Amino acid sequence: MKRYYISPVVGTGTIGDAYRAAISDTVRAQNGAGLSTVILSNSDGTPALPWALCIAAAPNHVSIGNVSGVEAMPDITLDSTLAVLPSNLRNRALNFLTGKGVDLSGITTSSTFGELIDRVGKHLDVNFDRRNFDALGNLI
Amino acid sequence: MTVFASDAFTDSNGTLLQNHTPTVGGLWTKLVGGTGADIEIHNNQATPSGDGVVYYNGGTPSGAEYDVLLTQKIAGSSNYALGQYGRLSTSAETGYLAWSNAGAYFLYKAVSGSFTELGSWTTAPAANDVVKLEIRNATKKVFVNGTQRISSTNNDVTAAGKAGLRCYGTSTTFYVDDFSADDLSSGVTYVRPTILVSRAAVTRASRW
Repeated sequence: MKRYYISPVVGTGTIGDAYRAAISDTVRAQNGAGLSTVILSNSDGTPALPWALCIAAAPNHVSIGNVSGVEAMPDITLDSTLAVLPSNLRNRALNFLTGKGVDLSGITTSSTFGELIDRVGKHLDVNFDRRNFDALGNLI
Repeated sequence: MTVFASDAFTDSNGTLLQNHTPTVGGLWTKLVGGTGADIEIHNNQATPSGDGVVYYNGGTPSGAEYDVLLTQKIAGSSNYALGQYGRLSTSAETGYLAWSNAGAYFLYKAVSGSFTELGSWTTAPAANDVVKLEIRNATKKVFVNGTQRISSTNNDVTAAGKAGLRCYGTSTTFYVDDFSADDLSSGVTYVRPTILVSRAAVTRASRW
C-alpha cells in the first residue's frame, strides 16, 4: 500500500546521516518497503525548507504516520476529487499545506487529489511530475 | 546504447584503480580519498583499500542521459557500502549515487559532498546483484536485477559529468565487478541479464 506524507527533514548531510525525510528510517525498518522523497535544496545541497513530500510503499503505515511532525495525506486515489473527502479531513489537509506555504489558489473540491499533490511537488521542485513520482512501482 | 566506459577489472592483484586500464573509456581518477585510501584490483574484481573513496572514469558520455551498471560481489560482510555515480563532477563530489549497504539500497543526490536521500528500498543486497542507475532528465531510477526499485524526479544536477564508483568498507570484504556506462544515444533499451534473488514475499496490491 502506498501513501503520501509531508515529513520533516532531518540529517546533517553526511553519507551516513544524509538529509532525508524523518520517516525514512521508519520506512526502512520494514523489509521490502520503498520511499521516494522531494526535498527542496539550496545550491550548496543543504535543505531550503524543513519539510519534504514523500510517497511510501510499505506494509504498515501506522508507524510511519506516528513519526513526530509527520502529516499523512488523505488515503484516496490520485484521480479522486477532494469532494469525496469528509470536510474535516479535507480542511485538515488544505490547512496543513497552506501553513507550509503551498499556494493552493485554484484548488477546489472539484480538484483531484493528484492536482493537489502536483501543487505540493512543484512547490518543492519545478521539475516535479506526479506521474514520475513513485516508490517501488506496483510491488506493494 | 553505446558504451562509453566499462571495466571488468582484469589486472594483477594489488593494482590500484588509478594505475589500471579499463576495458573501455579513459583511466580512473581518484576524486575523494586520502593517501592509502584507494580501490584496487583483487581476483579480477575491484575492492577498496580504504574508506570513503570516490573515482570517476575518464570516458565521456555524449549527453547527460545515460545508464551506469555495476555488479556487487559481497562476501558475507555487513561492514560495507558501495555504489555507482552518474553525472559525477570531476572537481567535487556532486552527482547522483546509487548506494547500498547491508540493509537497503538508496538513491542520493550529492552536492559538494552533501548528501540528500531521494529514495530507498529496504532489502539485504545479495551477491551478484546487478544494479543499474538510470539517469534521465525527468527521472533518476535504480534498478536491481532488472526491476525498478527507486525513482526520483530530481534534476538539480544537470551537467553530464562522468560515471564513477564510491566504496566504503575494508578490503576483501566485498568487491564490485562489471562496471559499465552506456549512452542513451540510440534510443534502444539495453537489457542486462536478470538474476533472480529470493526475497521475502511482499503483498501485491493495486496502487490505491
